[in-house]
Amino acid sequence: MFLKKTLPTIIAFVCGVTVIIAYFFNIPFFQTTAQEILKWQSVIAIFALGLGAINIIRVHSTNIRRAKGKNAYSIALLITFIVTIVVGVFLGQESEAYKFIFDYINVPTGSAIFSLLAFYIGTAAYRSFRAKNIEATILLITGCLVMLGRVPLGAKILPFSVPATDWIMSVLNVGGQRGLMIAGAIGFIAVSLRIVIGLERTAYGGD
Amino acid sequence: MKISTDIGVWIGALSALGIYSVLIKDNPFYTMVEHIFVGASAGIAVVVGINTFLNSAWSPMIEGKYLLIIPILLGILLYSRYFEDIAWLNRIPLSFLMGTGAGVAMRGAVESQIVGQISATMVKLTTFDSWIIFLGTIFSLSYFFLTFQRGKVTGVTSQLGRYFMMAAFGAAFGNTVMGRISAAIGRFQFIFLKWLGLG
Amino acid sequence: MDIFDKLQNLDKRVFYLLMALAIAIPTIHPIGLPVEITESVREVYEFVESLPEGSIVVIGFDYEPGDEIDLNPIAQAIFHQLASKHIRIVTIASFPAGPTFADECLEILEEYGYEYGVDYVNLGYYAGGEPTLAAFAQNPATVFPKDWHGNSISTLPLMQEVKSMKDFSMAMTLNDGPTGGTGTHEWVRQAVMAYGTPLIMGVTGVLAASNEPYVQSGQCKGILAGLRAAAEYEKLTGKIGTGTVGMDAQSIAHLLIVGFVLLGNIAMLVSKIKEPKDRSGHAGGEPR
Repeated sequence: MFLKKTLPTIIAFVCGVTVIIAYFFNIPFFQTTAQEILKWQSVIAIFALGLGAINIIRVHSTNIRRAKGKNAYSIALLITFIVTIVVGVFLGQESEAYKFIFDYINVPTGSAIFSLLAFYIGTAAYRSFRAKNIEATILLITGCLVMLGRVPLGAKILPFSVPATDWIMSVLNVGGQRGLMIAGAIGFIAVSLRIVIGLERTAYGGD
Repeated sequence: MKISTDIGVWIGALSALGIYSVLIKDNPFYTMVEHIFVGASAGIAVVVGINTFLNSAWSPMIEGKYLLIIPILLGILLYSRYFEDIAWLNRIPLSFLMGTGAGVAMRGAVESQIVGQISATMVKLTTFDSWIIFLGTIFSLSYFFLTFQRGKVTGVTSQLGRYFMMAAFGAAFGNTVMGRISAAIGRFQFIFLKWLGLG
Repeated sequence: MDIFDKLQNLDKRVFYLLMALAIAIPTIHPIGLPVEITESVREVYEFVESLPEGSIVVIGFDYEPGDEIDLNPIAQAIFHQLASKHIRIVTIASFPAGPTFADECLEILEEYGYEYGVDYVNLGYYAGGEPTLAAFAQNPATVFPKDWHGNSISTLPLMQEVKSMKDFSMAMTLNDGPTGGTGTHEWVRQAVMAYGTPLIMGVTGVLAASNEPYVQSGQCKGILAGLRAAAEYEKLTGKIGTGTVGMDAQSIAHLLIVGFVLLGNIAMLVSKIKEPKDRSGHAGGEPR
């Protein structure tokens, strides 16, 4: 019980309080301990990178086993995964092979996936972006003005959109975003405090 | 038109076209490219993780910083989640990560996101813009007062706060569209200029 | 069924095709529209110009491959300006792809005669997000005993001058959000508020609006948002790159989307105007 429930809570409390005290007070013991805690945290976090990889291996090996070797997608994924690791570890990250995988598989595909939203926005712009009430109207007007003001052709067609964009971004947007930021920060601090003092244990697998 | 003869450019272009093919219809080409991408991304993350581990933990430990064995062992404990009998052990490194992260974030958030922002709002209200920022902040904050029932005044201020937030979301929307289209422009430049040699 | 109803029921792939043409045609046949410099970008440029020659800056490559087109051009434009003032550069990354992007962008410095280890260093990737950034800010050597290429930090002359975040005359984050790495708020907390190091941000469009309060409050010296900012910065530095090349396609695509929005809302207005006429046309129509 102590190891499963109490020890994690104590660890979270000690780590959290130490780094907070080290920030506000110049006490050598806390400064040194906090630095060590932060260093240890960075080492532990490296291992977290492997968790995703293991999940991928488990899910896709199960797919291959269940499909009795017929799941070509999972096979391709695992082959790419293993080849990338072998190339990166044994040939190095400065090798031509690693840069090839990075520049011609990872980057183009990642960019293309991100850019799909541009096409979906195009359809949604006609079908769904309707000024049905005051809020939607404000959102659409500011959105369209910013879109026009951000491009040279928009500035030529509607010169007013450029100063309007600057004003929207630096005045109107700041008013709205600041309230969101402050409210969000209060909520964020409340949750962080709950984690540090042990009221919120679900964050690390507690009840 | 001068089509590239570089195999890498061909693979990059075909990968991008594979992803774009989903716009026509979901198809095996798209699914295959997507899976290859996931495999490559995960592989890159592992390679970078191994390199970082060797540089910042293993080498220093071997060269004399023996205390680093503790976070290394704690990191290994993260993988205990895959074994039912000892899965609870992964709470220990997780609590370390969560406690440290919460402490670090909390100590900075008060100053940067609350005090800093409030003091930037409480300036001399001599210009129209400063009034707009001040009122926008007050009204949008009042939208988040959830601990008491809204009266006439707070009802109006929170509604005005919604309008300010909608303006902020509109600005965010306009910029998001710009960002996503830029990603498409990058791929189209690659496909049409680098691969097909047009333009 | 009127024209607007027909458009409403149009296959979405027609919209995709129109978007694709709006981007492809100006890419193949550029129009060459001039890019005007905005106040926000000029402020960043002038701030960087004011940095003392030979000072040291830290740049965080905190983005994924998908945002390379937005942020690599910003990095390259900034590097040209920094190199023209012989400002020395240290790069770190909170995303696995970051160090490789940093290496690619740092190649620009060779044309200025920069020497690795003396004038610039790529420290590499750090895991753990904000707490690790806090550790780096306190003492970089604890997080990076070796650089990305495996050199011990004690052998790098540049790193002997950096003992904490205070030793950097400027910090910059090239950022696409905190998920998986370190976000802009974290940089404000750990660089600006903790050490008083001035910060500029290079962000994707998504983050521009939410970080503007930091500029207004003075916690951030300026934001460079997306390809447009890269194009403006290239004009300021005189080194034209991918930012400028993409502006024509950006213009046409934006106009198309605004056109779609207007068309859709006109359709809504038309159907609203027609509704009462339709109702009165049906005697004994169904109650609404």
